[in-house]
Amino acid sequence: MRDSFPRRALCGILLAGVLVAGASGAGLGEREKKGKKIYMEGTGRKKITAFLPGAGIRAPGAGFPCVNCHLAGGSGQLEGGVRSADIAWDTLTKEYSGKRPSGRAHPAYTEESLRTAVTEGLDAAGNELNAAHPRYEMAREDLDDLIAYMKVMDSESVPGVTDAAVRVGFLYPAKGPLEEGAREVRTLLSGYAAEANARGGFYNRRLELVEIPFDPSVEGAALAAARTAVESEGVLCFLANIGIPTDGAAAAYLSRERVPVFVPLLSAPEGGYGADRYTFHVLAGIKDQARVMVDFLSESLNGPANRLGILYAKDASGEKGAEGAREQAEKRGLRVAAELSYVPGVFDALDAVRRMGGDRVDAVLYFGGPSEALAFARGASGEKGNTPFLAPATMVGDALRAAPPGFLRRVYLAAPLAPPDEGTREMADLQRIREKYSVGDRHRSFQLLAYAGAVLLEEGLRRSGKGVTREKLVGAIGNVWKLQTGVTPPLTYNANRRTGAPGAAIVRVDPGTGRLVTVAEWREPQ
Amino acid sequence: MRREWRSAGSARTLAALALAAAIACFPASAATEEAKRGEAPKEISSGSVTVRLHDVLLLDQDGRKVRFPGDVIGGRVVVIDTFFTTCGLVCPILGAIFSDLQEQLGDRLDREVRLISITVDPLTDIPPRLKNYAAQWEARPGWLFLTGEKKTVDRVLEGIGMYSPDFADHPPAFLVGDGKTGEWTRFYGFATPEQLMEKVTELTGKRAAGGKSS
Repeated sequence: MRDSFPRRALCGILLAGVLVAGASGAGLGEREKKGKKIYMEGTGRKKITAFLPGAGIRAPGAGFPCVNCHLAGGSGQLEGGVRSADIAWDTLTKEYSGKRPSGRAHPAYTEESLRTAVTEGLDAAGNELNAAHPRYEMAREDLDDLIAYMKVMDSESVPGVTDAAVRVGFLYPAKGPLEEGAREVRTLLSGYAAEANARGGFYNRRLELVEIPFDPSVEGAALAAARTAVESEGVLCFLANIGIPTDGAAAAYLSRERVPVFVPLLSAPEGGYGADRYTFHVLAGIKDQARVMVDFLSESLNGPANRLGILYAKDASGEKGAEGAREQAEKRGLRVAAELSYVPGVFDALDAVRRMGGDRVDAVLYFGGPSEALAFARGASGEKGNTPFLAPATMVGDALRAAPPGFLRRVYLAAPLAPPDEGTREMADLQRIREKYSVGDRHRSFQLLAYAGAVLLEEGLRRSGKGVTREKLVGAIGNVWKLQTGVTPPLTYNANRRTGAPGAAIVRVDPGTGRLVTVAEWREPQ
Repeated sequence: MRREWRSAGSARTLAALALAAAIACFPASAATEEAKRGEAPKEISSGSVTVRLHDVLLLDQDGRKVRFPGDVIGGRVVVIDTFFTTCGLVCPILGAIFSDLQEQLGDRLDREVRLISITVDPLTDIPPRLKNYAAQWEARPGWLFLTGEKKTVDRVLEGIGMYSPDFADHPPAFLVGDGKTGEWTRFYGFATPEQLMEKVTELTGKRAAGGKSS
């Protein structure tokens, strides 16, 4: 098989000619783009195969792309006792007579000797490379693309970063029900940027907010806005996007393009392992809230609640809630005695009350919409008993305030965003910005989350240093432990965690005053 | 994709089966090339070792609690390696070697022989992450990916002589052993699937011979 390679390579030489495009300013030429794909993903115009001399195995190149070991920019690393070389073009072509960091001595690489290194595993002096280095079988064209990219990769410009500025995108609906909240957040963020810039910015770069509005009533408008921000405006990342659903096309596009997104508002998916690596949330999804609700039940009521009832809507949030409740109940030694699901909009309240009302269960955990919650409350109000009814506030909203007072006494709500401590420096800062820039104060939760996102981004920019890239930013935030934002619970992220504060407080409505009273402090599930 | 993976060994077997003739297949040409360059074939150090198999609870890729060595090894012949899922350099090569072994073992996997990959980064490598990693390698039942409490995993690794304080610096190594006889061999470096398979065959062969004589 390998014998056929030189012949193929020869054809490649004849076909490829001398088409090596130079780097054209900021963007990459076609050739470099193709080369970058080989470097990053191990796939080219033709099939690429990696032979692993250490193991004597041939494998698809996609399993062994250059970037795995040499990293973006070609800096190399130490792992498993093997040092992968710095393969930045400047380093490779440096004249140096002593031993290189690899322990071998060799002259400067030329394009020709680099081809030999990639395909035959020999350095510029003919020494064998480390056995961990694959020998790649690839078409001459692909090899030339790769080398074209390697020549420019260490000086490749970072999207959204210039010497003078860091550009941060903000996607928001310019119409519809979220318009007013979006306007407040936009004013807050631009005020925040102005303040940060007055302090000197980040590594002497200004923070530039790139605001891209879209019309939420037009299908595909959010995706188009995201594309514009990434492809035309050139942003490093996004902050506090509004009205971009996690399962929508725009979010999928940003994830595919590996663009970091900080604290998208109105989307709190489950942020555990499997969550999008590039999106950082603050608040708990329904599943984690459900777990806190079960923890609360198992500890705080009169004796352990042994029989739980789970009532949920057959939709993504409802099912996540039920799943979290079941899992946590098992963990805490509680029994799920009754389970009932309903199709949203088709809810038989009396049947639900018949199954979960009275003293048939010791507590009802509810994961569904506001109108069904209220229907259940009305249906159950004639019953005796004091069975607690727990629901995530983010799902039922304000609806239960209208419940009969007798039922309202039984209601406990999980609140993922605990009322912030008004005395922190950050709260004072937020208040100052709010006043100075006339932000408005109708959408406080939005503002708190957007501000927390800005604090998180600032932390990421500082940790990434002057040479910030998207990957460095994601890596830096991925190591944040208990970051105090002053406006939310402390934020922690790691490789398996993309929600910074996945907990909840348990609150209830005081039937007399109508105010929310905290009955269990904010905490993460156990 | 992975189905295209061919090791020297399986390519050889296939060729032999299909044509029963000398086909110019990979190891031959590689050997020729090495000979052309006038280099000695690479050596891999291996030797028999004493291991301590601490009795602890670990988690497999499905999140199931499994007892080590009882459930994990039992009376089987096993090949053990260490890895971590975020490793880009050494681990994919180890994975490719196990993937090849899996293919060579065919239906003997799980029944007679097990492949055991133990993470050196249990804090990150939670079961769903391992499950995803296992799927990338198309691991079949009998190829186990193990994690657990960090303290426990470290203890297991220490017992089998594969612990590194800095997990990113874990050296490539394999252990081949027999859960019944307690005979263990360590391969230090990238052993080829053939070298590992040879040891496996030796151990299972001894059993067969022992079985006949008793």
